[in-house]
Amino acid sequence: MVPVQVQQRASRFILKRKNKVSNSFGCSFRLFWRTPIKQLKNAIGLQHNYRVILLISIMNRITSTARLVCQRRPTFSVAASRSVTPRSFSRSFSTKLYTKDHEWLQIDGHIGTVGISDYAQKALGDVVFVDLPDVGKLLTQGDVAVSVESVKAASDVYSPASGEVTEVNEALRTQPDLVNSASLSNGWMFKLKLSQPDEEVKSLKNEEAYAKFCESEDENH
Amino acid sequence: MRQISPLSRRSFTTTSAPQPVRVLLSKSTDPYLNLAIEDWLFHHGQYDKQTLYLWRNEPTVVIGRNQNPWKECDVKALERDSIHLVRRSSGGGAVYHDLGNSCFSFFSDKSSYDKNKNSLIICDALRHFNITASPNTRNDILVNDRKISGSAYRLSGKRCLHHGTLLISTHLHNLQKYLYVGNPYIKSAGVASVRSPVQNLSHYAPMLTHDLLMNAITKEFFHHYGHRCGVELLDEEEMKKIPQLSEAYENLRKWGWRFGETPSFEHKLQYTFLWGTVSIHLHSEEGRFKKVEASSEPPEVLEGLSSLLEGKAYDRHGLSEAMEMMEDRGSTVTQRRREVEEWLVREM
Repeated sequence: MVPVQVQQRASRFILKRKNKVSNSFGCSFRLFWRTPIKQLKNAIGLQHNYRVILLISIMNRITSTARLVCQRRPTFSVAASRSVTPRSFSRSFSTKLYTKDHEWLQIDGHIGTVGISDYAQKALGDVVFVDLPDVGKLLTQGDVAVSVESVKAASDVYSPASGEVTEVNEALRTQPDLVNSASLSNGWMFKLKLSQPDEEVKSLKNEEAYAKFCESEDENH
Repeated sequence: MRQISPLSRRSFTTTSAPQPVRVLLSKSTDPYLNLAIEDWLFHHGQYDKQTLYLWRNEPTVVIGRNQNPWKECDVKALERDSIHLVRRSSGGGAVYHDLGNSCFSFFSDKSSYDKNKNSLIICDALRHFNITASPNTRNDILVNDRKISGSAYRLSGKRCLHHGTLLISTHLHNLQKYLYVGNPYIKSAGVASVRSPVQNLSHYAPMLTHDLLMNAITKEFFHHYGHRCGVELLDEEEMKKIPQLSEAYENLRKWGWRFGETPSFEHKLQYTFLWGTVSIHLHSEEGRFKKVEASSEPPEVLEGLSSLLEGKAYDRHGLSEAMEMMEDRGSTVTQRRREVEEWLVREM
């Protein structure tokens, strides 16, 4: 197995190279693979036959480290020899905010996308029908926006923010099970043109706070 | 306020801490009012107490929140026989109520919501009459593999409702008459019912009545929660004076809720008359005709009907309205249109 210290040195080496050239996460693979073994050996003391094993084993470390780096550095510098269009991290790293009723809100400019959390979809059981709001409907934070029927119950989903419904996820009409299989991505329910985002987000929880909230809910139940 | 006497029989001792309770019994058999009371208790009840609400309805078909009435029951027969059609706010399937069917509703806070415990309360109540009942995996209650009770649920924030039926001496042939197995020509996005063989409790305990069973359920409810209270008898006129309840009552009666909340569906129909053929492909949304493709051979019989139907209510009144607006093409065509209308009303 590759020693931990070697993994750490490799991670730091790749991140340093990555940040200088591009913020693309995929580039780190290519950088690591193309870097001559002599250079790697000098930088981190890496032997040739370790390269493949190391690439797989340090992926998690790079992922968690890179996320921290990106959160601290929202814009990236561009090397003179290449022009790289700055782009945001992939959607799976975008911050979701959560309500105490287990809805999530993901903000992109003035538009908020709403869905329910993984905790909520597990509690619901298999979803058989989703009654979505009409496009154009005005919602206030806390209004009942969606009614979800599962094998266990008809449950209300509340709007995490105020605004006008601009789009609903039509796929849920024929595939309500997306709420179970992809609650954080393709199982999104509706989008809102937010009317008071700055004030209302203060009452929502970030991922860490929401995870703790779910733990305390499980303890109390 | 009636006082209930202490229990004389125990099936097991309760181990959880005592919780305050509230029991209400409706004197009305108006299904809209009983469901409005339930809605009012759900939104405005006291969730620091475990609440039990007992009621029964005059002949009614009750469909689930997201069901298609035209697919689940014979809507025309209900109108003809003056049977109520009510849409409830919980999920699940279609049921037939009459005075031989009793209903129970348990209201709990999310922290103390336990539908299995609620079902056990019912089963223990039935034991008072030497009936051995048990819940299955769907939380239906069975006696000798026959369903005598079904349940449905509604959750909103911290508020939880578990309600269900109990067949005591229901007219089972009416149940079969008014509830469909399923119309194969309607393709619907809504929720379908799950059919089960049913039986009346009076088959096992001939002297069983609504009052006796409600009394037993109340006793077991007190026993399970370790608390007692007086039973509140709800008077129809007094209830209608409560503003939120009155609003819920009106909303339940509206066409927009009963039929307009139907999920979108398609209905394909065709028929060969002596004079020609008719083919109709209907799309409905919110209980109205949305897109219609109607054609006939000879074409003048249904010419123009497609656009006239759009937006009309999906029932014989909407159809009749649209057909009256069609261009007059002579008495033969009018007669043929009448035949098509009669056929469509039978099929829809």
